[in-house]
Amino acid sequence: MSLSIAAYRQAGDQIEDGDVADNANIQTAKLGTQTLYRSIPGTAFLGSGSGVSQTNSGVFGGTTLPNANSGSLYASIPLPDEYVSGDITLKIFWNSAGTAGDLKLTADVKSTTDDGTMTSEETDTVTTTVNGTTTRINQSSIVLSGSNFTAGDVIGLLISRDPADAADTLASDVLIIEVTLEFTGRG
Amino acid sequence: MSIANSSAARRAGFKINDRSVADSAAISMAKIGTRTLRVGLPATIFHGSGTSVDIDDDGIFPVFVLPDANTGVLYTSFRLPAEWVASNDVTVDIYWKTSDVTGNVKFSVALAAKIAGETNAASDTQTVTTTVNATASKVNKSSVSFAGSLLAAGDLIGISITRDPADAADTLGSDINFIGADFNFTGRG
Repeated sequence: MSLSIAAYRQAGDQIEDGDVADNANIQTAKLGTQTLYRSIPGTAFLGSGSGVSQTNSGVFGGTTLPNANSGSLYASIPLPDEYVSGDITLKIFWNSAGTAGDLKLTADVKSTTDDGTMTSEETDTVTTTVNGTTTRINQSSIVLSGSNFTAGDVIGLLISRDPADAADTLASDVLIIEVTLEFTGRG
Repeated sequence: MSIANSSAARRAGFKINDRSVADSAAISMAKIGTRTLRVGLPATIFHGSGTSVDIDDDGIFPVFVLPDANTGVLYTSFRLPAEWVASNDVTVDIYWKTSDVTGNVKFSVALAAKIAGETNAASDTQTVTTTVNATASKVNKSSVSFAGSLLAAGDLIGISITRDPADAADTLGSDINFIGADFNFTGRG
């Protein structure tokens, strides 16, 4: 069964008891939206830079961004078909043995379809104070403008750390555990 | 407006009429229907730890070798999907292959479901012992379940999969190729 509220309103009809079977599969694609996630495991990124390597912290796998030099993580994913519109929030989960100082992360994003270029169209930074207890999970958030995204796009994402940046005062390696794209989507 | 489900409406003799639904109503779908959904976890998104725990290829599958000579551990992390319906248990299916045709493989699977500010420690660990397929090079599946009470919406999930060939229950005398895992959950849609 396909339920169209708009169609019923136009017809002035009513959905009655006999219209819906007990196990009816009601199509929900156009009925509402909510916040959805698209997850990129930290182990799924292509790492670049000395000491940028996969490891684990407790049960969580991820990729290390070192304190000794700059490190970069690259990933590509299709824009989810459920995406409707609006900004997309990057939530970056990370871990560090350090318990004092700030981590500065930079995110570059490009969302494009065929005939587009592969250069960054938006660059954002976020600086987050590390949790004061070691092995705790930390979270940094960056909001990407919805104007970048069009249905059918493929997204390129670069997460980088430059420990020489004056704002990056965390004197330890960090493990990028996971990056989530949070967006408003159908279903 | 929230339509509980068609069965509830039928029992109550309830009718949804024109005035029940605003033009731009956002209808909550959480209770309309659920089904088993899964997050695919291919071998390539795991970090391997242990001697000779290496990425390889097998047929057309990328795999992680978990050796017979020593313990091997695989780690990955992902976000609990927003579609997950609270309190429902989750299952991890592990797909693997070996050239051997007799013996059992034992896996220990640890799961952490955490948010920012919490530790990186496991929330629970489950084990499963599976007899290998009697025909060489067939795909095998091992499954463990975790209580839904361990999870909360928005959680960051960490999973480690360990094979300890020295465990008395692991009687397979061969390396195995880990193909991937599925994280199965009850979800909307």
